[in-house]
Amino acid sequence: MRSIIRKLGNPKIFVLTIMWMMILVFVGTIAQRDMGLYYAQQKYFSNWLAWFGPVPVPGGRLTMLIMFLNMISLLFRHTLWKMKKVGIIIVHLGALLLLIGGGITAWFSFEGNMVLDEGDKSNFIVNSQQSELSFINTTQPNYDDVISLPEKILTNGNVLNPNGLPFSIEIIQFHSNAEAERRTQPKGNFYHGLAKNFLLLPKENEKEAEMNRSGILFKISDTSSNADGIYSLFLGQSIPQTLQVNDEIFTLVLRRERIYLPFYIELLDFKRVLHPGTTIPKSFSSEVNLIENDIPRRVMIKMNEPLRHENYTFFQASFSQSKSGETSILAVVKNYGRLFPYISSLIMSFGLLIHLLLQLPKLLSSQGKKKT
Amino acid sequence: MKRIILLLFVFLSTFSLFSRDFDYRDIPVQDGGRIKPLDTFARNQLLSIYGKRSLKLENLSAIDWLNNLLADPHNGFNQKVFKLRNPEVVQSLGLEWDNIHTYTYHEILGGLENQKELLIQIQQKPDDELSIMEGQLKELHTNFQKFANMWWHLKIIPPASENSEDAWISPWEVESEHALTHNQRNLLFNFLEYLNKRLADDKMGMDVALSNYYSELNNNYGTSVDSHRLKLETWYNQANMFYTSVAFYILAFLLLGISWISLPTIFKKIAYFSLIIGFLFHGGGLCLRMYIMQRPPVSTLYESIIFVSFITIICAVILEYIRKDGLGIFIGAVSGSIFHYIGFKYAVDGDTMGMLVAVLNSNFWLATHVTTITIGYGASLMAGFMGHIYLGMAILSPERTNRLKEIYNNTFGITLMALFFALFGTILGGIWADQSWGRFWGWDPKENGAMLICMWHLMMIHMRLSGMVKAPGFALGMVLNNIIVALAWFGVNLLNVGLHSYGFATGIAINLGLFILFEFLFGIGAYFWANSKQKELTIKTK
Repeated sequence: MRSIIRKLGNPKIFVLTIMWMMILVFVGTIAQRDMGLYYAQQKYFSNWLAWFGPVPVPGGRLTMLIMFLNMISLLFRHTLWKMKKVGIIIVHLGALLLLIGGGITAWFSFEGNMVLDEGDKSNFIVNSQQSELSFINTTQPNYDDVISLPEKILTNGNVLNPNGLPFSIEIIQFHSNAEAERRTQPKGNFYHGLAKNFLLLPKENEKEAEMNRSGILFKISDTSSNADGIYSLFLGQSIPQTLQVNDEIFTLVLRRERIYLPFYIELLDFKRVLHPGTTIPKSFSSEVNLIENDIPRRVMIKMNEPLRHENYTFFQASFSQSKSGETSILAVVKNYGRLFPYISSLIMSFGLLIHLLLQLPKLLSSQGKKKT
Repeated sequence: MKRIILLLFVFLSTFSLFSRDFDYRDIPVQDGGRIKPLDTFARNQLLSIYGKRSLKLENLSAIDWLNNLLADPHNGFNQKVFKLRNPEVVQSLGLEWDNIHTYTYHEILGGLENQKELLIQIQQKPDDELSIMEGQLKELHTNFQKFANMWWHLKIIPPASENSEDAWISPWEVESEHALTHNQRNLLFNFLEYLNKRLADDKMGMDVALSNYYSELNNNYGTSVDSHRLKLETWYNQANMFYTSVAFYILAFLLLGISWISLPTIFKKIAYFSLIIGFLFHGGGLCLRMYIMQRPPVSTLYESIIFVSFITIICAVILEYIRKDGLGIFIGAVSGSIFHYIGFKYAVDGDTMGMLVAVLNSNFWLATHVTTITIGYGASLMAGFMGHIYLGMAILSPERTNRLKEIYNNTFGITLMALFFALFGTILGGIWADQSWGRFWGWDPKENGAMLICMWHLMMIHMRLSGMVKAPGFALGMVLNNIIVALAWFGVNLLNVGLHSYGFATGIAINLGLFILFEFLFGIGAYFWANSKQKELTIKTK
């Protein structure tokens, strides 16, 4: 065990991993030009294995895990624990913390957008990269029952039977980006709605993942009615698909994945200020009400000045203007690891500073000076 | 040390000595989102039309050109000021391609009229589909419009309110005299009066009009218009402090060269002195820019070049102070001159003092993250220069092992320093990103570039630690490090993705490619040459 740790803590391993990481970063950055930031990140950095053509290579996550193990093992080396190396120890502890924070962020954080027209309020954020298949039971006049199936279980051939739905669903096809093509002849009665007249064709993903329009083809069975059959849905389709089973009425939608918040945000006013006499934006801001337990609180969200509430952070990300008014787009993030970089950067800078102060006089002095 | 402080004191006190009366160059105008002196406005207009900040042929400054044009459009329109660099454009306008290829308003007007259909087609095309010639024609058209409507672009009348956020208006936008307040009218009339007297060549009248203008401005708009800052900006435009500093850097280099031939101690001292004088002008220029724009030193690509060069000079001055053997002077003079020339090339692209888009408009983060990371770039390049020096020395005089060892140690020390700033700057950037749009790290090209620099330094330091490289290998690593820095600094702008791609010039790609090729070939070649010299030496000593 001892010898394994000894071997793992070798700085040569660090050199090799960091070389590999540099190659990954370089390739992944260049790749953004063609495939967009999101997909390049998924492919090279947020992945255990990356593929260079047909060859599997360690991805960003695996590389950083090795780096992490390498650094942990280093701390078991006796040669390191000396007074003159105290700066080095501190730097490495800080770096470890940074990697731990990165891990926590990678696994436990999520981000999305909240899109608000002036005067509107909302209690959910949407994940622009993921879709969900939702069944909205609109039978009751006072409330809706919503059952949503996230994108990751919408795999081809998967048969789903969620609690609360009086039928089962078989996914025939799901494409993260798709287009509809009119059939030459309409299909028979077993096909319903859009699926009757349109074919679902997969498309290559857009450079910007949020521009994708996902599409799905699925079969509904066990309704013991003529609602059984094949259905098709597209993201953002204008005519809703409804379904009646016994006395219950469902609306079926394929939409961006929603994450619900324990409070509401209401947009009162969106403001855009330009540098005088130009079209260069100087600042954006949204005046909102944060409504919790029916009690509103007025908050200003500005560029570089987000709203933080219950581990959620709301940023002024974007906006759009139309005839009907202004729409503000807030980026919303929940991240448990967000303090790690702050702490670790303090620790690392402190360590480096100590090390520099111990080392620099020796390194910068000239031989000539020592003789005198 | 005392002498340096004394020098600094004398230098700074020259700034306070400088104070002069308000003159016609300082007249405030709002342009590009801020209030600037007419002098800057005129320089930028002339730069976009004529390609230079003064009219060389007639030995006319930009401000005089503008005032002549405003006072006497008839003559102004017959002045050759439209410089066309592309014979194709000249031909398409039906003009003669001659030696100076500079044309008047009327000539261009005729040419553009003939090309109406082509112009309409060009206006409809997206920018990235335009050919070079089409792009230049479009630019000419824009400049032509601006020239013809100069009075409309001259936002010289302050808003009626005292609010500095409000837009100023130009005389053409004034519907009638009565739409203006009493103060606005007085200000405008004094300006027009000045132009009239100028046309009549009435020196007395000009002075009177100008002093009336100034007292109106001071009394009624004293809070929103800082006339002291306007005067300083005019002075900054005229002083060309970066030209002065590059002159001193070159002088330092020449003096250093002389010191290698004769009287080494004296000439080296004078060279060092010259480097410091250049450095003071350099720093003075930076401080003036900070004061004029009221923001930290680096916010655009142009400013990053000036600042990186400032950092390398600081390193060089300190290095020379410690070593006293001319190495610092050499590195400082060379790097300072090279960066200044790159900076001058950038300055030709247009206004170097533009306003910033909303997300960058944060003095706190500009001061911390951007400044730190730019210091990191500077220190990294300094370590790269040291790598060159080491390899060069190892080839020229491999027998001086002590000296080589010193330079190796110096290089390593600067690398540690560079790592400190690059790493800290990168993390600060992450923290800014976390504060502004909610993620510490987004794998954006600029972020990746900064991280590559940190990783490269970390790799080299650990390679040295584990014995994977010896001194020449480390020096090679630092030479190649320059490639990484150049890619992170300029290369990401070529990718055109992400939040950071702020300044991009087409010519960059070729120059960047040449630089990378040169560094690569130099590094590898010098490394093997140095190694073979080393072997020769060990065989001889055996």
